[in-house]
Amino acid sequence: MLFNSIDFALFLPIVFMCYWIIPNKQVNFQNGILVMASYLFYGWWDWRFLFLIGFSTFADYFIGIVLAKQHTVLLRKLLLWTSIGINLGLLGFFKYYNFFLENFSSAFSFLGTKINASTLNIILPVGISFYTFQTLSYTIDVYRKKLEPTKNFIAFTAFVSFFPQLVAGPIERATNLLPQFHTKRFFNYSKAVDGLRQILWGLLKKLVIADNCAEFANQIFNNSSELNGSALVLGAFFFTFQIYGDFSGYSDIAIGASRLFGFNLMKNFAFPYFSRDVGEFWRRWHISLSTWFRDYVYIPLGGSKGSKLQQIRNTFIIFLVSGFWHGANWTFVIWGGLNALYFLPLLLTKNNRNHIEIVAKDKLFPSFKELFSILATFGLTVFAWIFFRAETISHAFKYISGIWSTSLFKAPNINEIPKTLVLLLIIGIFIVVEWIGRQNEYAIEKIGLTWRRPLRWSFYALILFVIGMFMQTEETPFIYFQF
Amino acid sequence: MRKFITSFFIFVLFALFLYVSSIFLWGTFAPTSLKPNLNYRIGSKGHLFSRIQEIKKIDSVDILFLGSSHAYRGFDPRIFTSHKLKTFNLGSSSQTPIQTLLLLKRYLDNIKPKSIVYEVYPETFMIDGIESSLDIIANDKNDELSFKMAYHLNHIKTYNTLIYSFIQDLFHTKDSFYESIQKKGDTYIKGGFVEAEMKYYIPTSFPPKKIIIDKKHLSFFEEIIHEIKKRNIPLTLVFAPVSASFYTSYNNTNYFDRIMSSYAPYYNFNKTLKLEDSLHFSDYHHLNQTGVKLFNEALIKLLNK
Repeated sequence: MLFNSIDFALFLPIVFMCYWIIPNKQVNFQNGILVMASYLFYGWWDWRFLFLIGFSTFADYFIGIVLAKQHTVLLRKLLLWTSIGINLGLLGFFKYYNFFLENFSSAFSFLGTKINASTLNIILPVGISFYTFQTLSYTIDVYRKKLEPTKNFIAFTAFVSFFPQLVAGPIERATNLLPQFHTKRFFNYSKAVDGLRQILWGLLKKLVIADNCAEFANQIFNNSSELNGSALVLGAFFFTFQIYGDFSGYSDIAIGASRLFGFNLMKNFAFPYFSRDVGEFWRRWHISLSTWFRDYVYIPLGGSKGSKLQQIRNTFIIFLVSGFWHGANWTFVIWGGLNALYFLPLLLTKNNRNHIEIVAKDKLFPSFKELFSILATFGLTVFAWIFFRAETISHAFKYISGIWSTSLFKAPNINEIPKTLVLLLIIGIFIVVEWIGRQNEYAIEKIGLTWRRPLRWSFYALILFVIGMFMQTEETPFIYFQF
Repeated sequence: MRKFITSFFIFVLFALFLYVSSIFLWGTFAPTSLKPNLNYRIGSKGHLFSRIQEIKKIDSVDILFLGSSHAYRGFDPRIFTSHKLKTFNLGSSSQTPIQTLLLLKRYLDNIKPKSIVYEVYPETFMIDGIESSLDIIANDKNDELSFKMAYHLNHIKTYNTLIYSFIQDLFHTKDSFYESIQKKGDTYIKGGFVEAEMKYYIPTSFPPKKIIIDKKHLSFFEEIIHEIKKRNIPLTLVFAPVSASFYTSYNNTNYFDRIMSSYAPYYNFNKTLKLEDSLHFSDYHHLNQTGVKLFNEALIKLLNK
């Protein structure tokens, strides 16, 4: 079930009503409703996926309980690695089996040995990368004794399958989300209204920004060999906003929907395109994944401690693994590697944590230096996205070589120039709103809160109007579903 | 909780009012490029406005034609009149079964046809039907049937255009609209026909294509058949000629023929009428006037049998 579908527009209020109507707000009943709703939500794609998530839930629930009872290091390690093996094994099979097979086959044929390897027609279960990492965080935290294992199976199942963030995150830590399933939840008017406001903003990002950018980005990337340099730059620019609108829009809807049920999910995006360096960008982009890798991979490897060589190794590992997490394609690995190259100079010169606060805090405009840094970081990001979007590495290189030509200074040779200009205008207005609201959790969180109700409501109605007038009419799935 | 639900419903009403008002203002004053999801096309290509105005004044015909642009560009009432047959053409651009059904429900009982010829074109069973819905919403009155159509199509463009058109209806702005008989090479002929200026098609090749009938369209099509049969009006289904270069690109026309012939007497003229792509067509799927004459004569002969 897509967030941007009529099905979901009916599903959400029904679940909302059933959830809050429960007498005395009994936690177990509320969790039970969430589990049923989440399984229905997930099964809407393909009911067969339910067995997979059910198995994962069972395995981690029992491993968690047994793990907490063990005191011998060896046994504890064995249980931890069993959980890691099960989760990553499932992920590896469904997501990477064909990739590894094809690459082994190619490698052997390069060495002169032909291997008769036939790929399987495997359907990638939606959101497997997300819930796998979420359940892994649970077992690892139990192993590290940061978290007591839950004995409440319903609460644990609700934690693993919680529908707002099930298929594309934010990837929650068990330490943050699981305790919320054990606490009594009361309806909070302000929180619910805030949730609706965030859903509204998320829908605009997805339906107006991302889906309209997708139309042009797809056209340009699919016909890149016939287009001139300026058109290709435009294609990369549109993809940059497509992926931001798509993914941060999804996160906004997920966080907003969770608030309707009384939950607080972690922030996943913090205006990443206003970052002044790549280090800051990675603290603001897909925060739940970046911090997951930081806590469960980077720091155990030694993090930024140790020799320069170790720091370089750790940085590359984290970015390459992060790239590979996105998909079974070398383009994602290159994208990760490129970001590691961007990040390394900052790390080695100890400048990677220069910009913690949002740019131009409490000011209307940035300084020239800040503006220059934002634009330079944005340019590097756009360049890296080319690898992310390209079908193959050679496609990415051809795309880039197409940009570096004299045609870069010619008008873009694309169809529908007026439509392109309208989209650029919309993106411009969107950037202004995001800039105004950059100090908040999401752009429109505080806009109009002090206004009188008719004016404030008119502002929200205006957003609805913009969605209705400019939304892309083709229903486009969220990009991150494929990861 | 109660406060939240009450506020929410008041907001929905408030937003709905503002949305409708904004659609009207935006639709009236904004340039076309700034209203991608509002496409109000009164007096659009195909002369539907004139056709609707004319049908309102007709109380009986011998043959009623239904279908897509192949109908209103393919059945010339002058040829039928010469055979003493009074006809009316209720075709519209890219008309899919849901629009055909809407038009039938609106006009069938007024026009009282002795028989119906329904032009069935595979593409109209495969497209989404949005284009045709916008055409009808802008050029005809809007009533409960329009809302039903919009609900079934469930497309933001249809909803927005319907809201805008409905407000136009309230202000009676359509009443003062005048559609020129001649427009961009098209001439409206009494009886619902549109004669295109003489052109000849230069044949090209098309990639192979499969006809896949949308189940949703088929259910509306069945409803059309039901509506006609319950009034005991003889019905003939016709697959009008398209260029051979295009027709042969379909690799399963037998499947389409089989389905159509299960509902009513059905004639695929692409199989029975010999036409030349470069002589009888103005583009890959529309006949020119020479082709229209041959096609209509062949149809009349068949109907007279």
